[in-house]
Amino acid sequence: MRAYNEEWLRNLEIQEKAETWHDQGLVTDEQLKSINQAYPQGFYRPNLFLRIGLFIFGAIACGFMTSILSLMIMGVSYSNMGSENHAIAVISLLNGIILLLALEFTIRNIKTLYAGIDNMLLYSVIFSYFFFILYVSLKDSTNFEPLTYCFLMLPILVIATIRYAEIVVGIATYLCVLAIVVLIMMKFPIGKMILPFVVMIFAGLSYWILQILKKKDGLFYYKNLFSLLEICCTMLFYLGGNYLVVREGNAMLNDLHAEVSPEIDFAPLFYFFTFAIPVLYVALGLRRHDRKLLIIGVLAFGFSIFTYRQYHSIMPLPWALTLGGFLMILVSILAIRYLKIPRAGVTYQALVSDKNRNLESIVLGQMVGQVPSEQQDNFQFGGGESAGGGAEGNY
Amino acid sequence: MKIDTILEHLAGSKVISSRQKERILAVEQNPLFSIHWELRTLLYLGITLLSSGLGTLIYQNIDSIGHSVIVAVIAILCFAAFGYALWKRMAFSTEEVINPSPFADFALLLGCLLFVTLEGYVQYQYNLFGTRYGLVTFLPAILFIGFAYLFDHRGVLSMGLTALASWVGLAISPEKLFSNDFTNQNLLILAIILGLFLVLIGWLSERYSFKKHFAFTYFFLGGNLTAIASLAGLFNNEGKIIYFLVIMSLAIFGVMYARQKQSFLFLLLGVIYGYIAFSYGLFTVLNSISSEITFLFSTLYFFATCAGIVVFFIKIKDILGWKK
Repeated sequence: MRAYNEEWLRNLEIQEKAETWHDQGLVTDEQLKSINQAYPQGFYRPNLFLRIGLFIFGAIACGFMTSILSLMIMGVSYSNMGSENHAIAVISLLNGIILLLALEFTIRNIKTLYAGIDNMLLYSVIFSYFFFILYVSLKDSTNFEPLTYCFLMLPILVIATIRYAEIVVGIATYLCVLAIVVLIMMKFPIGKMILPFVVMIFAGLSYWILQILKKKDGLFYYKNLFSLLEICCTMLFYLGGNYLVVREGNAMLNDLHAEVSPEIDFAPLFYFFTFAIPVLYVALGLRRHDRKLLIIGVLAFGFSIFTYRQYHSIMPLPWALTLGGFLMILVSILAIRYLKIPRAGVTYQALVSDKNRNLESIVLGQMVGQVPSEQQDNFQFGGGESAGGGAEGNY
Repeated sequence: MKIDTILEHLAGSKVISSRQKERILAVEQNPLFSIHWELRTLLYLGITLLSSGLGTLIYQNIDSIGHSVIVAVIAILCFAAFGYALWKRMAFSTEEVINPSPFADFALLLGCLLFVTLEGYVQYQYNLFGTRYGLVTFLPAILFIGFAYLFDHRGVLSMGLTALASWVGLAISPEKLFSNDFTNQNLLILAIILGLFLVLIGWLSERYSFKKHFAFTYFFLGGNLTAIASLAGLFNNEGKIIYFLVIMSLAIFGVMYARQKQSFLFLLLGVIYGYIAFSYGLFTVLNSISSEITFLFSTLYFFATCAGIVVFFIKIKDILGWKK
C-alpha cells in the first residue's frame, strides 16, 4: 500500500531527533554514530538545489518522452482511432502507465524520498490521467460539468495520496474534496447564501479530524502530509470568514458586476472573523508552540488590514506604509529585547544554525531597488535602475 | 512515534545511559520555541515598509510646513541609524565578524535605505549633483560597498553591488536580470565585463581569505549577470563563438567551484547555463551543416540529454568524488 519504506522513515525520524540532541550537546559524537547504525535508513535525499535540478530536467525528459510516444502512436494507427481526441486519450493513458512504472522503479531502485524526480513523475502520472478523462469526455464534443471532473479525479488522487503521501498531491486531494462540497452547495440557492459558513465548518471539521489522525501511530507515514494539510485548513478557515473574500466572492457567484461589489449580509460578523481569527491564531501559535499557526496568523493579520483598507480609507497609502513599518519595527524590537531570555518557553535565540545567510543577503540587495521614485520623472538614475519596481502598483 | 518510546529503545539497547535519557526527556518535554527567524523577517519587512512609505511621503506636499518636518525626520532617522551602527560596531577583521547586538545590522540597513531616499530627494529638489546623474548612483555604490566591508554586512554588500550595476546602467538583481535591454550591444558587453569582474573579486576574496564569506554574493550576482548577458549575445548577436566560450567557461568554473565547495546551487546554475549554451551551439552547427535536422532527432536529443543529466545528478557524489 505504501510506496516508501516505512521502517526507514521511522529510523530517519530518530536520526533527525538524534541530530538535534547532538547539536544541543545531549549526546556525544560516538553515540550519534551508534544511533545512526542502530536505526539505519538508505534513502536518497539530495540537497534542495539538486532536487530542483532533478525536477526540471526530469520534467523536460518526460515531456519529450511523451512527444516521442505520440509520434509513434499517431504514426502507426492514427486512422484506426476514429478521432484525434480518441488518439490523445490513448496516448495519455499509455503515457501515464509508463510514467507510473518509472515512478515505481525510481522509488524502489534509487530509493528516492521526495527527491524531486519522484515528485515530478507522480505529478506527471496524475496529469496524464487528467488528460485521459478530459479527452475521453471531449469525444462527442460534450464537456462534462466541473463536478463530474472532480468526481472522476478524486479516486486517483485519493489512491495516490494513500500510497505516496506526497504533499502537493495531498493538498490537491483536499482541494478536490473542497471543490466538490462547494460545487454541490452552489446547486441550491440556500447553499450559495451559507457558503462561507460551510467552508469554515469544512475547514474546522477537517482540522479536527487531522488532530485525531495525527495521534495515530499507525499513520506515522503521513506525518508531513498532515502537517501541511493543517496549514491548508487554517488558511481556509480564515479565508472562509474573511470579509473581502466573502464580499467579492458573493458578487462573483451572483454575477453582480457593479463597480463596487454590494454589501453582504452579516457584515459585522465577517468583520469580526476577519480580525478575531488572526489574533486567535497568533495567540494559539505562541501558546502551543505551533510555528505554522503563528506565521499564518501574522500573514492573515496583514491581509485583514488590507481587507479593511479596501473598503474604508483611513489614511493615504504612504502614511499607512510608514506607520505600519514603524509599528512593525517597534513590535519586533520590543519582542526581541523581551525574548532575549526565554519566556513561557518562547525565545529569540536561534536554536538551529542558519544556513541561508547567503541567500538572505541577495534578497536584501533587492531592497535598494524598492525605494519608490514616483515623482522623479525629470530625475534620471542610470538607465538600468528600475526604482520602485518592488512596490509598483501601490502608488 | 513517541519520544519516550524512542528513548526507551535507545536506553534499552545501551546506546545512551539512563541519565542521558532523563535529560533528553526533560529537554523534549519543555522544548524552547524559537521565533528568531519570524522576528527577523518582521523587522526586515518593517524596515522595507517604513523606508518605502517615507520615500513617497518626501515628495508629497513639497511646499507645506509638514513637508520639511518629514525631510528632517528622515535625515534624523538616517543619521541615528548610522550612528547606532557605528556605536555597536565591531573591530574590523578580514574574517567573518558576528555582531552580538541584534539590531546593529538592521540599523545599518535602515540607514542605507533612508540614505538613498534622502539623496534622491536632495538631487530632485536642489539639483545637488547637477547633470552628473552618474554620481547619484555611484555615491551609494561606493558608500554601501565600503560599509559592507567595514560592518561586515552581506545584505549591504549586495545593495552596493546593485547600485554599482545601475551606475553603469544595468539591473543585476535576479528577478530584474531579464529586464535589461541586451539588444544594445554595448550594454551587453558591459554586463559581461562587470559580471566577470565581480566573479574575479569573489575569487580573489576567497583566494586571499579577505572576507571570503562575501564570495557567494559576488559569484551569484556576477555569474548570473555574465551568464544571462552571454546567452543573450549567443542568441542574437554576431561572434557567437566568443559568447559560447564565455558561457561554457563560466559553467565549467561553476561546476568546478561547486565540486570544491560542495555547493549545489552553483552546480545547478552551471549545469543549466552550460546545457542551454551547449544545446544551442550544437543545433546551430548542425543547422549550418544540413538544414534537415528532423523533429525526431531533436526530440530524441532532448529526451536523452535531460535523462542523462538526471542520472548525473543522482550519481553526483560518485562522479565528483564527494564523500557522504
